[in-house]
Amino acid sequence: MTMSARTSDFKLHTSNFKHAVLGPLTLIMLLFCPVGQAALKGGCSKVNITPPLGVTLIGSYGKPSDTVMDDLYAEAMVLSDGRNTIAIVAPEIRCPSNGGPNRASRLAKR
Amino acid sequence: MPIQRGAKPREQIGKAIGAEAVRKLQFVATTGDITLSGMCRQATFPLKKTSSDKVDTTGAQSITTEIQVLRLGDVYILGLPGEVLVEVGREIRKNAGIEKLLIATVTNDAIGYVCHSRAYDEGGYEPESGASLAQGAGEIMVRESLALLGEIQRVN
Repeated sequence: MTMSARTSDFKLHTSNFKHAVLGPLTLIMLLFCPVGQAALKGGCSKVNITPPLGVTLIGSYGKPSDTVMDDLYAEAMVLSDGRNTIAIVAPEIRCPSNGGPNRASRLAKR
Repeated sequence: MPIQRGAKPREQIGKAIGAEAVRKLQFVATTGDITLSGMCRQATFPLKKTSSDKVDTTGAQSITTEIQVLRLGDVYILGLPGEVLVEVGREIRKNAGIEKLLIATVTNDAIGYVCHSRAYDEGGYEPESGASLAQGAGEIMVRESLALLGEIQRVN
């Protein structure tokens, strides 16, 4: 299993929502922010979760996997504005049973 | 885009979508000046009398799960627990009055297909053998989602 992670000041992309004005305006506001004031921080991580060959595949009528076309990954992003912290996890699996997310949520609260 | 099955059309569609994302990314501006929040809400959906094999619902008449919303500045990410038909998502989008709304499905739970009522009348795999939820589930998903989106907007 391979894992990579990086953490840095995080910039949220906004202009893909057709807000051409927002970008320049916000940049100016940031210039006047005193150092130490709440700024968005975040980190990203990516883990290879490709299962071993031979696992049963959903949607293949019980036929087990016999080759890997593309590796599967679980990606995670954690953001904090200094007050609230949120995490978005995107595993490349078909359906999360309720037990999986609940367990992840419990682990994250530790 | 071609509506075809098979490896080649799949690769074409994937590359076309990926390329569009890369194209958009070249012109985005960024900001670090946003606040974050999140909320969740319990929702109960009626089950069919005979369930599909996708969700184990032996003997139960309804299933209770949750929907979530994250707010990143003025961007809202709505997380829905199931394979939600596009008509359900469109109905939420139409009535939410939020410009930057992203709808994610199969989030934190998998309750099978969530179809709008008309799909049950029309028939097909998703509402029939594919779904455990009874007719009306899609409308409940719309109602509960709009209630949650309204709530997070009021609080923040």
